[in-house]
Amino acid sequence: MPKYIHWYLVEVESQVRERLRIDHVHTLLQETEQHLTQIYSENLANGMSDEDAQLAALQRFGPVSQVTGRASKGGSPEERDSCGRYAVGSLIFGALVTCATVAFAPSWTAWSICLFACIASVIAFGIFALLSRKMLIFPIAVVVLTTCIGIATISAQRFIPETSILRSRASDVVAELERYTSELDKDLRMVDGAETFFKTAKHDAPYWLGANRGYVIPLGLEFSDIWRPVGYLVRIETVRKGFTTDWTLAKSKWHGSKDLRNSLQSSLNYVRAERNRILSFAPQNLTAAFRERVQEGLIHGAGIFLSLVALNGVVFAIGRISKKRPGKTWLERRLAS
Amino acid sequence: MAFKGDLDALILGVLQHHSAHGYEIAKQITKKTNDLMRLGEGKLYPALHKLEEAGLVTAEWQQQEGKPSRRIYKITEQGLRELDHKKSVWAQLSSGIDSILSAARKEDRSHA
Repeated sequence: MPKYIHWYLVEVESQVRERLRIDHVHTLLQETEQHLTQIYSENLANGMSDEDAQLAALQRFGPVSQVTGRASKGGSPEERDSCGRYAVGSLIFGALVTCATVAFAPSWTAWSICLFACIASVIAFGIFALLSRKMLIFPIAVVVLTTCIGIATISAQRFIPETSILRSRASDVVAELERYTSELDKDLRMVDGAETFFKTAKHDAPYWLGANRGYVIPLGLEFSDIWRPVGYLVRIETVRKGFTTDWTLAKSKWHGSKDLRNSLQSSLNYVRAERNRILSFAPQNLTAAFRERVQEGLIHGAGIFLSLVALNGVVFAIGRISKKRPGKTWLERRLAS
Repeated sequence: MAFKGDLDALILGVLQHHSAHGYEIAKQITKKTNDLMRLGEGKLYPALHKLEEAGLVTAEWQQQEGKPSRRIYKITEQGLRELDHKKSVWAQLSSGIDSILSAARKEDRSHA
């Protein structure tokens, strides 16, 4: 082989050996050799001297840097693989930070730090993905899907304590409503008692008018009897505050039991309906709320993470556009160097 | 609109009629353009490899007696479609430039 052509090939090999796969190096060298030899032969046939023919062939073929610069654009396969691994690693880190933010971030400061780390990881992913010159669609899809599921699970798990609190509150409310029910039942019985009392009482003995409850309690009874009032007088708001011993006043305030009975009955019905509604609400609606929370978590997670990945996508797209202008970007120059 | 990837277009243009090896492609480009376009021929192989990676051309080694093997490149269906696209881009670009240049010439004549 002519010596200048040999030197040229050695130089090409030394520059691309570390940057291209061995079969690509072999192909490039063989094609270069074949091409240069052909030009050299033509030059010799045109009457050039051996040395001139070689130099002219090399000049026509172009400088080594031109061949290797373009051929090695994008770095060695090992470097690209490493960049791909770093890119996926950064993405996984970002995913973990996103999940941690959703799960634990207790304050705005922690939230901002986590978000900053997350954005940094996604930017790192963008740069490494660009350097790797690989689409990385599969790992991106897997990480995004896993993150969304993770965030949805975290959201749902955070919902479980809320659910148990809600259940306990619901049972408290039901107990309270049951207490109201029994009180209203008792009040209804009192209305009936008052009806009988005002019809049958003959004496002018003083009576307690318990203004706060509206009960009429005959004076002179034993203490324990005071807690067993004999009749309902009127609604709270129509009775004077405090007690009275004026029988006439007590009787004048009694307008009959019909309205009061109706009112109490409707209150009782309402309370019973509310109690039944709460009891029937809990199982079905909590399941629906749980499902809703999971969906919310999925949308939330997908929103946060996909917007960050979209940011990376923009970087990647810009990189791909600039890739069409070989050797013009700092990244490509760096890779080629 | 710019005509990007001109070397790719020239290579695909040469390969659209027949398969060829790198040296022949370079010669064809020089010959068909009446020596107007002399490319640094070293640029050709990385460009060919890029086209091969993109599936626009295929390549196979051809053994030669007493000479080193040659790699013959052949355009693919995808390559032909890409070439059609590049042709249309070039047609638009050249007609745009032509309309501006001819208008300029007419204006010069009218001023004169």
